[in-house]
Amino acid sequence: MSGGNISVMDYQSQFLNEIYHVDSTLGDKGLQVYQNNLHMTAMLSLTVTYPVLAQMVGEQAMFVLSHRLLRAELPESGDWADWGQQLPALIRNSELNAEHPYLVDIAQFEWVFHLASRSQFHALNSASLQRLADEALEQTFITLQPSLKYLRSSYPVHGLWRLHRSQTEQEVPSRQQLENVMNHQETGCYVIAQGAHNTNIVEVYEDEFNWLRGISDGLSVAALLDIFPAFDFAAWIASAIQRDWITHLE
Amino acid sequence: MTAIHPLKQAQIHATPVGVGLRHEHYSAALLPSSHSVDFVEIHAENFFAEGGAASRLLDQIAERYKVSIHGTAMGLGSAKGIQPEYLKKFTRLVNRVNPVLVSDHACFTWGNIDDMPVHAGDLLPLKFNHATMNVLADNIDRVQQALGRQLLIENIVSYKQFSPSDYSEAEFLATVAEKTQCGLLVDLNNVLVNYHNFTNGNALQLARQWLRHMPVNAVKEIHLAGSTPVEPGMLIIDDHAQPVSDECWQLFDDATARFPNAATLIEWDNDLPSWPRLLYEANKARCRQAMTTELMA
Repeated sequence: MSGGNISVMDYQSQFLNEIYHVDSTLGDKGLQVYQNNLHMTAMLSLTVTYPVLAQMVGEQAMFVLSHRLLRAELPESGDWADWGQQLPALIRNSELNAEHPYLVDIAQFEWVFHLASRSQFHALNSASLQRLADEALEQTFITLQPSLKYLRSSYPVHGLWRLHRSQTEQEVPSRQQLENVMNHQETGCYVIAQGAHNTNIVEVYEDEFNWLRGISDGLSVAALLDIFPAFDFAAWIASAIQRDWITHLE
Repeated sequence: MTAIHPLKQAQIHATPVGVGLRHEHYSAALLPSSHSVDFVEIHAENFFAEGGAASRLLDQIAERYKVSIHGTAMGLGSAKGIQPEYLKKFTRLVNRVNPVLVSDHACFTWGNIDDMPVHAGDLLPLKFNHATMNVLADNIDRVQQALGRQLLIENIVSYKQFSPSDYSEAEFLATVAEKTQCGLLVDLNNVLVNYHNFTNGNALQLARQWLRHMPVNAVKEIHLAGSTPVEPGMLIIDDHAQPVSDECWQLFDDATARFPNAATLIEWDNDLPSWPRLLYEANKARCRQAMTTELMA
């Protein structure tokens, strides 16, 4: 660094810019330390956020991905757990996608799980269920857990996720185990939400998936039933309560 | 080890010794059979999540141990200021745990790249000049106001060397403590590593002189750690991956004598030993404290 007169802000931003963008391989040993620290921390944090992906692609590939991601998505919150949202998009545009197209969906699945697993759980307001008896269904709306997210995939991402999560970090699933998962038919619709005790992943069918989308779009119970007349609302609400998906009716 | 007089024992108890509690040790530390320590230090950012496993774990830790909260990302010397969302999370955590100590570093972490906000993900060195002093003091004031309590500020390892400035590092820290009434957390290994990396003199002697600039009443905590040795000409990295070095223990004896009321913490973050081995290091610190106290008496 040079210049005693540059402002504190200028010095600090200039130093950050050097760490993120300047090639230090030929010179500054100190800068190299900061750059190595940044890249190692980024890779470790990405491995924590995407443990299944890390098992699938290995340490070298995670290092390269984290290096590229630092150029696409600057960490800004001070909490590495908030960094990495753009990894699925980065994989989609990488050379990995041609040979392993399921990796994008695995990464998306893991990001959603990561967010849900850090979210606060909201217990059901049981008294609000009384609205189903007392109020018109046109005026009754279901509120889902804020952490609840749903996603689709044409690959058996839940099976792949479970298989890898059941292994230790060093273990790699056998070819037979992977074939079994890939040949297992999944619905392709998944709901991930924070529960009272764990973060839950539930495979659902198309009709339930669309029902949940309708709730998220702000439709009343009456409107939902108009759109999905064959949907068994009574059975669903009992199951949704058991799954910790609902916080209240309003 | 000499037997310790009961009166001295009471004095020793007044200067707690803790260990850094890291992910790999969570299970062992929470076993009913685990020996206890006076307190454990957690890294704040590992417990920012509003729910989930980390949140439940924090409840268990706080039920079993006294907790010190150590921030690693606040960047108190950042001219860009401390990001409100970060401070909100930090404050929420402190209010929830009611820790025995709260600390972060004399460094910067936030800045801009191409007008976009960015976090360094590391502890970056400050220039020890008047302008930086004002930035650091303003940010410390703001955090102490938000927390409603005293913050301890830790000296860091710098891998950059700057031309002489308005203050030495020790003067800079002493001044900011005086200006803001913050406390100081003296990391003895960081002092030694900086001298090893950037001077040819006797690092231990220089570090002892450094300690003499620290205001006795402001130093509330001491960090002890070890770094992986490197080849000559290479920079020592503050990796917290080794036992506390002999040199650092010697400096600890001086620090204990000078700051008899400061808490002590063993930091070990990488290549972690077993939980009992870590507690052994804490006991070693306790024994050395006792010996120093005996000698002074």
